[in-house]
Amino acid sequence: MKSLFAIASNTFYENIQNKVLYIFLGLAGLFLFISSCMFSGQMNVNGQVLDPRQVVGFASSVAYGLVTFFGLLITIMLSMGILPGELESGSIVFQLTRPIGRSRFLLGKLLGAFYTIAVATFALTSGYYLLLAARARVFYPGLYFGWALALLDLAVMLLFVALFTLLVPRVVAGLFGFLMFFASLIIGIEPLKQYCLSDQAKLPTRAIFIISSVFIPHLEDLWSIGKGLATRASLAPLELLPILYVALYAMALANIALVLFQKRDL
Amino acid sequence: MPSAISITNLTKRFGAVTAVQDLSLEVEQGEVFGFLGPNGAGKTTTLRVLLGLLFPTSGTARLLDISITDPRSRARVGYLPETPSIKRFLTAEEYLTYSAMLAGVDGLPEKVATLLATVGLTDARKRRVGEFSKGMLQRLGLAQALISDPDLLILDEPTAGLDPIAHKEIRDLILAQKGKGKTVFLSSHLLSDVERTCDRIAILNQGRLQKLGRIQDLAEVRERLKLTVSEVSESLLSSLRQLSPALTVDRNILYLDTQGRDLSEEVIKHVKASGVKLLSMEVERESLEDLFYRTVKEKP
Repeated sequence: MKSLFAIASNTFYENIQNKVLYIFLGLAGLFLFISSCMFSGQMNVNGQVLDPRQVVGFASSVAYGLVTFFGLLITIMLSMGILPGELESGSIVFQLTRPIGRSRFLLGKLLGAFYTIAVATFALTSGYYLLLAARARVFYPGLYFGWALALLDLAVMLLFVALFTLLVPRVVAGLFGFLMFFASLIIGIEPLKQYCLSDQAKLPTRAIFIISSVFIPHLEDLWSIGKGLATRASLAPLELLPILYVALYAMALANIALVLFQKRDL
Repeated sequence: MPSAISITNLTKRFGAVTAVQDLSLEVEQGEVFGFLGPNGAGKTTTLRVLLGLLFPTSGTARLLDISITDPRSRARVGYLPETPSIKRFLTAEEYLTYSAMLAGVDGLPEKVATLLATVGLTDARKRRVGEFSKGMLQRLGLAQALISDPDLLILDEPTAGLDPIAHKEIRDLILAQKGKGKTVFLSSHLLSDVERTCDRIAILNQGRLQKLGRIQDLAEVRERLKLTVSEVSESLLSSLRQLSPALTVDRNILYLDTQGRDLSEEVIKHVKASGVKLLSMEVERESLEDLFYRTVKEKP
């Protein structure tokens, strides 16, 4: 356990040296600040004055979108470097020639990266929470529930890109990550879903959609649930199913990554 | 006592290229073992297989009687690669602490401080590794190899690119480890270091083991006597030329070609008669350098 903790904390320490992380955080902070300026205690839409809860609802959904978007950028950036960085520099040699298995090393790296993502997105969420509290005088913790669910989305992206860096160059793996994320949003679009599963769609279209739905995680579902949580802080029972599916998908990705890393000549 | 390193029929292929072919050797505990070969011979590949970075195509190996497939085989092993690659943002202290945690070592602060002192990096303990010179990096690399007080040290070109002072200090460290009864497996191109420190050597060429044993047993005996005298006089030279016309002089060292004859007693008589002091006399053997060149020129 000591070695696992050492690898994870060293990875976190390494990640916070990365200047690009602070560029993303700065940009995210800027956008969040600008969006917070749009919200105040007195807002009206179509001539109707919104109550504070509604104001917070709008603000929270904007914040959730920004935090998950910049969280995605940070996740892909970090996951592109977890293993390639170690392999290219040769620093992996000192670590793997210790009495630690490769699975422990990989797990430590992934945990360290995940912790960095969690801290960065928590900082953004908290910053926005404070801004909203200062401007709209509303203290609403729902943002943090949404943040917790967004982390599951980001964990899947982290595992996906890290796995692909074992197979393709890191830039290609990062691009795959973006493609996968947007594909998962697309397959979650309700009208598209209904069309593809209806009799109107041709057989190849239906087949491609079904296969994609199986192999691409339904991050859009999770994103919607998270956004809902950010604005209303409660979960309907059926909303647990997409969460479970994505969690199982994450576990499958982690296992595949472990198997590939175990077999690889370094 | 089990061997420190035991390699049995080890083969490693990268596609169509065979880097190591059917290698078998044993390194006993407590010895300093030299692992030699020209560039591309398969030395680094062998080391990386032993340390679990590469998987053997066939064959087995054990470190301190534990199979290399088990990460625990590296618990009492310290490794210094040819080019230490250490994360630049860490300080020397942080890096050694991290290494110690990976090795499962207790008593960290004292151990780290002691090791930094041993390798002469106490003053640089708070400096970032990115600011280190090559010599400092090499010392830090050696420190991390020693962090777990290993029974087996595997060193790949530990003195490459170092200035003479650092070179000597590293060599003295290696000899100190030997003095403590540790096993040192040394891969080096610096044959003078190998000659001075190693008990036995192996010479690898094109992936195959060509020579294994003690240097004095492997080196060919030359048909030459090497005499070290207090001074060289014309009378000495002319009297020795009567024994053999093939006589070469290098300051106060004389080389006499014996053509297979035992001329020791006669040489002593002639030197005494000339009034010169005989400081030493030995049958000349092939140097390690000559042995190395001869071996790699042979077909593997």
